[in-house]
Amino acid sequence: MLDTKQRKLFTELSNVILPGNLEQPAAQDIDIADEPLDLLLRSRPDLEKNLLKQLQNYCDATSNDALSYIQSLEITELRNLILIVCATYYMHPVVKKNIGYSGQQAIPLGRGGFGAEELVMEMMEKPKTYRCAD
Amino acid sequence: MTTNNYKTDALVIGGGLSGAISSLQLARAGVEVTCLEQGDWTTPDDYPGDKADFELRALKQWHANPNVRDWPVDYRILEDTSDIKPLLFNGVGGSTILFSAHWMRFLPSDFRVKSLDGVADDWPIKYEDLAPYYDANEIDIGVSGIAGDPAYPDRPEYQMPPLPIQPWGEKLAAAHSRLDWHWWPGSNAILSRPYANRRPCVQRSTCRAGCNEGAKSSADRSLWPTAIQAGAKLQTGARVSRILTNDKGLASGVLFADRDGNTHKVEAEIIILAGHAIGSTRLLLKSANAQFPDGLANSSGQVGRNLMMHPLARVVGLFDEDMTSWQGHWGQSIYSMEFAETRAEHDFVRGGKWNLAPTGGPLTAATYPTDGKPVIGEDLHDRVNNWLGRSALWGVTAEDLPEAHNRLLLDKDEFDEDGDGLPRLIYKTSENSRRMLAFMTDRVKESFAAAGVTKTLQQSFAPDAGWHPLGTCRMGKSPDSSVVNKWNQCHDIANLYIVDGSTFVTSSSVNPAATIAALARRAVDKIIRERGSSTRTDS
Repeated sequence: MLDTKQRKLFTELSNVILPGNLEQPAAQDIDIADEPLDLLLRSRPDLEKNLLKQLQNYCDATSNDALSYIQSLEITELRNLILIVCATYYMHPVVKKNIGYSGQQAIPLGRGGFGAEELVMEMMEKPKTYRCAD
Repeated sequence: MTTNNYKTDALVIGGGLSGAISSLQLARAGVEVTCLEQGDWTTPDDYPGDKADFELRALKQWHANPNVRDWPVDYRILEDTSDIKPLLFNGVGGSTILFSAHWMRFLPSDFRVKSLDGVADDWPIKYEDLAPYYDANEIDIGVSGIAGDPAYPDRPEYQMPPLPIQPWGEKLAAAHSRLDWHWWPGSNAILSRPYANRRPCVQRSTCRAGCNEGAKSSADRSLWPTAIQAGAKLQTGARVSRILTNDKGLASGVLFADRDGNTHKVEAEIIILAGHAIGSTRLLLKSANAQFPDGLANSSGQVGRNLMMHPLARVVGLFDEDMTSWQGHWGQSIYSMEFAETRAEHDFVRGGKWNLAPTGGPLTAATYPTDGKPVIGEDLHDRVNNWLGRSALWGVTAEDLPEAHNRLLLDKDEFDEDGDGLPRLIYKTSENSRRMLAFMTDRVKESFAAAGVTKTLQQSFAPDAGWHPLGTCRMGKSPDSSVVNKWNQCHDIANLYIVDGSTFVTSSSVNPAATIAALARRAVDKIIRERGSSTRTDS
């Protein structure tokens, strides 16, 4: 589990990756480093080790500026950090509601057509295009 | 120490698609058949698709790369020497548990690459040799689609109509019709109607992490229940470590370890290797003995060579309108074979297949690997807003040609639990494939532009998409240059068959599952016809 200091560092980094705007809350607005982060780590405990390493590196960085630290990351490290921040952020119900994401829903198929049937009929009329092999 | 030795007429190694087809057909013919599968059954409840953290768990616990997934049953594959990372699943149903279920036949020209285009080699069989087996498998498996595609020879109607091609599919279909480019409703091993006691698709778009509905025709749902009912025995948790041979140079049985690590021996008259190009090749090499010092069936030196991986590029088109494009089957809504055949004006030979897919939820939108550095801040918000629900993805698969230096071998420094070298992939993408992908991504952008898309994001080369390792036990007429004959029977060991993608001579540009299954069914039909004989029919 992360301690208070580590959670504070995570919030700082998250706010740079996902700042607030007119439509979306900032990472800190959803208390990203509290229950949302715990939820993430319950789903993906394998991410904790990498996260703790990132937070330690950030803490050790000569510049204590989150943006500078993020900009200094190698692409793989940056992708890993973005994954953790985004997964935590976008699983939050307030964020999901704001972006109109209802989750992957089961929607039974109707009995209508499959779509573009008239264009399929036109395509059927075209000459065969495969090459004869003999 | 071995315990619980037993005998069976036919032994199948691997419970994936081709192992299931083989077991089903043998059981139907009354042959005593046992299949050994190293993994286990999965159930629809296991899959993360109907859980809130689906996207997150699909990137780890249900990742298709065994090195990432890292389940106890997964064996490590050394991939740092390969441009493309391998994707597969170890369990009943094999990689069909996680595949996207695109169900495509080879084109006739795919079997005549040398004759038509002067590259690689011809197959020793033709499209017409496989057509009846494609037909028969589809009845057992359940495939949705519509016949009449002008890119293909005539074929029987599918078992059920295509799945909805979705609003984005309609836009791209109309665009291709305007461009006079080929497109066709996707053929998918996904049910659009109830079929064989299975429910149809609910368009949850989570196919690549297992189907919670059982609508995807993975081999565990579509084939194994029938095979077991017909009398096939399936033993899970059975990891084969050696294929044994006798003093006549025939395969005599296997050694396998159960979940508790106990070793067992099974003897069989016929052994059918269906362990995936990586697994089967690895096992042949692991089984080297005094009689076959370079591995079984390897007098040609071709076991492990000619690895093909189907290089892939992806382009995401961002539309202006909301289409809820995180829903829909993550098979193919439509496909295009417009650039699948060789054309004189191209600076590459052969071609590519395009398939259109939905684009996932917000985590996919935020983290999907595209060219350039990942974005943060307002740019990240913009990316998710522009992507989520408003986009479609063209995947482009390049036909990969065999090259002897691309190969699988057993490592000399890292070892498995049997003390054998771990499988190592050595694969460099060819210039032909690179040029092909560059050409295709430019054409894909034209396709999107014709559909009204003003912005695209692309991944010019996808190293994480090695769904189709192929070719490492190639089929051919000559024992000097190939591993199996046209019946998937090893040249060197007459009662040993290999029925997975390792036997492909060339890769085509289409998804290989239908052809793997057809080859398996054809090989087993031959076995059934000639049961009792261990004489090769050709080579």
